[in-house]
Amino acid sequence: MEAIVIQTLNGVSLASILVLTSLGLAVIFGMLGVVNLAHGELFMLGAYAVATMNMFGLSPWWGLLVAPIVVGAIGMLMERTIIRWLYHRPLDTLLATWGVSIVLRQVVRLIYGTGHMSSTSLMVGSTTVFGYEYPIYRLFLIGITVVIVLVTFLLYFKTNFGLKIRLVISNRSMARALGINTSKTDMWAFGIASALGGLAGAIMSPLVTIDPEMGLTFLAKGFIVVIVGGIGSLYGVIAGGVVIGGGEAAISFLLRPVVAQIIIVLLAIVIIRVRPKGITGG
Amino acid sequence: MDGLDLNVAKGETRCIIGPNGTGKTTLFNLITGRIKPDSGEINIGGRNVVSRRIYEIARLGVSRKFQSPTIFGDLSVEDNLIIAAMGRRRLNDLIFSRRHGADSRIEEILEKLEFGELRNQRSGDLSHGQRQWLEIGMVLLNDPDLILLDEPTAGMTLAETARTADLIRQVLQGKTTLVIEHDIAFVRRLEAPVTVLFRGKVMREGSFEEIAEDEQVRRIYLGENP
Amino acid sequence: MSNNLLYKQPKSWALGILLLALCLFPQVFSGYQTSLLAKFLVFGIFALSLDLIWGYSGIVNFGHAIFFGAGAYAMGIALKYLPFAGATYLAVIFAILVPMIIAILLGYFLFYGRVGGVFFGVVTLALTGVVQSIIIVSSDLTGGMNGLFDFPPPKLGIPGILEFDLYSPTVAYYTVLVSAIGCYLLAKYIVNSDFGRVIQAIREDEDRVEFLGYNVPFMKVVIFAIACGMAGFSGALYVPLGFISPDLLSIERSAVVLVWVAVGGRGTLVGAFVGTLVVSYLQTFLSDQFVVLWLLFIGMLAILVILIWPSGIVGFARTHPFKSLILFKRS
Repeated sequence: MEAIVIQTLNGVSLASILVLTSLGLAVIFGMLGVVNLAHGELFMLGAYAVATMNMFGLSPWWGLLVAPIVVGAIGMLMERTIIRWLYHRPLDTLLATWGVSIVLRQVVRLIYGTGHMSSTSLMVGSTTVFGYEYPIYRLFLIGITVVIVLVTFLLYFKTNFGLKIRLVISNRSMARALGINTSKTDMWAFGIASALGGLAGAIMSPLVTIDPEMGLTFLAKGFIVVIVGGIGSLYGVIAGGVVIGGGEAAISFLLRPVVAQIIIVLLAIVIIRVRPKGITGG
Repeated sequence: MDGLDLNVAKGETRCIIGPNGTGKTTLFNLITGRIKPDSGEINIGGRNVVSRRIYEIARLGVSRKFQSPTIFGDLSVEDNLIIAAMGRRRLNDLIFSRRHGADSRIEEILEKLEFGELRNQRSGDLSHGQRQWLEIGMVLLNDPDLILLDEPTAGMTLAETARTADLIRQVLQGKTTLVIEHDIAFVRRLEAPVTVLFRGKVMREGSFEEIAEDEQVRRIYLGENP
Repeated sequence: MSNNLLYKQPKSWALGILLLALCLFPQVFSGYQTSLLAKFLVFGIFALSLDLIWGYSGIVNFGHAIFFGAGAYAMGIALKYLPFAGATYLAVIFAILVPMIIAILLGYFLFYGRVGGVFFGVVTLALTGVVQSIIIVSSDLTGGMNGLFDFPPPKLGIPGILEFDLYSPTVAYYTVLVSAIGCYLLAKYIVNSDFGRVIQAIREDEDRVEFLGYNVPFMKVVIFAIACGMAGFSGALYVPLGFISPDLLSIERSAVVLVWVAVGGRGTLVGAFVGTLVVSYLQTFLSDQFVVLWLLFIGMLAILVILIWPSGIVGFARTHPFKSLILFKRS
């Protein structure tokens, strides 16, 4: 019984991590049609923000605050200087953002060195869930994911800005004709999605090794979640996160984690063949 | 689209007209397999094609010209025609470029379209009318039994329209063809039987003259309900 | 390709001089320089295979190093377990087939699942990590993190009568040179065939091609398999020139090959070699200590080429007749 509860909680927290990392990717793709290969590095920068605060002896909570602001600004800069010239060339955006990801990784290496950094945990200790011990931070992770997803949905469906974004997605030229500055909406959407990536990295920082390469693993997983869930939909991210996260937790229980990760990617490829539009798509 | 019943005989050219949003292009999408009907049958040469993929339907002999000219702009005029002519060949014929008589048919089309000097031109650099004709040429070279033309004169000048009508009458002689068109002068010039679609159903069928005099048809074109 | 008539073909005497220079290279330069150029030509074949899919079919592969690495590993493993004379030939065939089979499987799942364009690139990226993990996990066969090294040296020629050791820089160089020319001609033949035309049409508008009666996913699998087989072949040629380690499949190697092709000019074939040689020789000026700076440069190069110079060196040379009057003529 203990194993089942713990594994279920592991599955849920793994799914939360995946949803958190994929959300920004899905927003950028859904809205701008851009696949941002530098998203993993934005995530990495978020984690470095917390580690930097730690280095200066500040509370890691400061990192959690600074990460989305700084990373969001970097995302907006990226959109203004590079992405916006390439909206009509999707394959080229892929290569350009790939270039950005390499640049960001190397810049971090130059500043912080190649070794890994650490961040003190935001919360330590564990608590009892259904009578079993479970780390408190992982519960916090599940909670904050739910909050971030809800806020994103509210922003998207209930605010004026969300309305503008939805208008731009459904009909760009009509949106322009209605007086919406689509260029500005693009920039802000990219910035917000980047901030989401940075925040995800900051939240994840106590649980992972922080090094310049960390973004790659999360990027690959994030995309698999987006594709499996259904490209371009916010619900798809949640569905994909649950399937991939739950699957990985279940398989890790039986096999080595490395093998589990291999199986998950191969399984995802099979799912794509069977359901090309993802599990939420028709 | 609901309860549509349309039969076209072999070798017949049929014009399909009807107000915007009435389902003309949807009809083409159904025939070519781009969208699947919820129920019903689509028979081509006696075979039901509902469950087939787009390329399989094309291989059965259905070729389509899109509303806005859809050609491969980065490739030359000749390349476009070759690709169309080789559409139903096997992979080894493609790899070894075995054309089996397609070359002479390509020459014939180039001549009919008066494209001789343009053959090595990048097709994306052609004028709008030329692109429409190129696509008609591609459709013909695809060697179809059923030809679907979606507004072949869209965006053309008057002279170009007249030439297109002559071209279609000349080259499509004896081929089963469905033509969607808005331009009434063009429809008259084609001298083909006309089907009027309205709200996804066949409303009238008959010769151009019969249709032109039909009160109901006149009314829907004026935007009133029959 | 007849539309290449829009461009200028190199003059035949310029080609002759280039070939002569390449043939005489080992006589003039040191063994070190010879094996360096051999290595770069191997990379050139690798880049050529990427250009076939990226430049001509619009399939972008962020894990192309998987197929290079798979070829090298297949070669090494075959040499190790087939310790008889003439095994090198079998090993090379094996090194082409293994990546091809991987490509066909991947293509079947992704192209038939309609994962095209950008998302294909993303999946290949994810796959890089997976394949690297597989190699590290199955260390009995692959040597794991340490790499694979305990195999007999590959030999060419007639077994038992006249054998050439591929570890000799000159033998390796000429083998690579002949292979590079062969691969280039094969690639040129493919893109100029009717199949090549269809592939380029698919790059422009997949849907339209399908309406003309082509089975588009099948066509994509075919070109992808050919390109990955060629990448595997280049991996096999790399075996006598470098070490077989999981590094061969790294994300960086996949990134660098994209930059080689982009710098040389996508969709030009010859640009793959030009870009590879230019960027690789540039790299030799920077010592290994500056690997961080080098990758930084590669990243910026990728961004700049895409933004400012999408046609690359060869594309540029072909569209600017004045600057290339000496090397190119109108035909």
